[in-house]
Amino acid sequence: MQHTTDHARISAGLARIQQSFLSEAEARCARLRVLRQQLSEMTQDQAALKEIGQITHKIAGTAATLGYPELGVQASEIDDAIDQRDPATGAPSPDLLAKIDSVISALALLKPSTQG
Amino acid sequence: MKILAVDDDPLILQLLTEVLRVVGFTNLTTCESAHDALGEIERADVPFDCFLLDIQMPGMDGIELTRAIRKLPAHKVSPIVMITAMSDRSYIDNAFAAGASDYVTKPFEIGEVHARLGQIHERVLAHKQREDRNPVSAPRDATSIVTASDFQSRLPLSDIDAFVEYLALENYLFQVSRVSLFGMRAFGIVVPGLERAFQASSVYEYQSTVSDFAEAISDCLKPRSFLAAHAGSGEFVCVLTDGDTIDPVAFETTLCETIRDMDLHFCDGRAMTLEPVVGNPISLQLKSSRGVANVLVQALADAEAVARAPRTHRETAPTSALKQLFGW
Repeated sequence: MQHTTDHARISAGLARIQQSFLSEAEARCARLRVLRQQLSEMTQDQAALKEIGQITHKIAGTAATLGYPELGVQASEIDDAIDQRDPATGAPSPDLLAKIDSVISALALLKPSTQG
Repeated sequence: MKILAVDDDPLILQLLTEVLRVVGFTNLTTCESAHDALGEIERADVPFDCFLLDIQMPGMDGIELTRAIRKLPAHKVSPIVMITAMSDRSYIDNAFAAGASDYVTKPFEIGEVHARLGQIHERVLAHKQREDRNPVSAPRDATSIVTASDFQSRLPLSDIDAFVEYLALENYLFQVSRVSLFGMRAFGIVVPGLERAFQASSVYEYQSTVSDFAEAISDCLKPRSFLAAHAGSGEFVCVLTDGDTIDPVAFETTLCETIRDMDLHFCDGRAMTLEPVVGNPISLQLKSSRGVANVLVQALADAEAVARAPRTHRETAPTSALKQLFGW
């Protein structure tokens, strides 16, 4: 019974944080687009890759808890791939680029609720 | 319980604040960097009871922050829980070696955070109750005669390389069992006769000797990768984390020699003749998460069995070759 009450109280709090996550998602999506563009122009842009890793790391840390498990898994895969990547290997693989594109698309679909 | 949470992602801090508030942990301070956290710790009039730390942060990361917190006298044994998206073995190994007490991976299950913090809260309450009952316990206890309860206590020994609290070692194994136990082995070390030898000694003398034995174990295990813990009285458990193993007979000989070289004496001048007995390494490779929970107890039981029975008899038993082969 206590567990149910806790869950209800947490749900209300999570809804508020979810709105912050969605607002943040817009900015993160915009930044990832810029960085992805940089990778298209200069395939070995390590700084851009590093920042993509940082952004996806943050998304991976919260998305599932806030109700977006698939986005969390996708972001986590990018985070892991960049973390374990040897910079000497050159340009990021097509698979990694496709995953980045996929996360950008998923973020673009997220919209903050306009309801009070 | 006064908690400090450190994460460079404000959303995680909001989440933690919400999750903790619901279960009644409202005394929460949050920081977005390790630098800010150290400032908060320094400024705190009442020390924090517990820390929740992210690993990957710009500047000083959570593992470095753990080391910095452990260096502070007030926080030698304060619970430090890593709450992190870094699930690789190397991060888990480094976090516990730095002094982490527990490890939760993001995205976290809210129930899991509740459960872990609930356990920590019980420990913090028990610790505070002991202090309330005996506010001057530390200086007085050190010179008082050792009791059965002192023998049962598991000393943190966090000043000794690769030594962690027993509970932290259990948490480490549980966390690693979710990733990979490949190449890991555990073994126990017991010091027969230690309690009898220290029955009329001071707590200080007993604890100093336990610390000396731990120091010798740590020195002898280097340069292997390992974590070790005191299991109470004259018992220790070690976990080899990186595919290494030991020959228990050879290791026991080296350990005994190291301890003899330390030339340990009781306060009354008598030479100490206690010698440790090393158990057989147990492979963790095929253990389930549930099975790994008992492995430290098994390792100690094995060391006690070796201490009871002459090792030469065990070595000639028909199963010893198989044990060697499979690293049991």
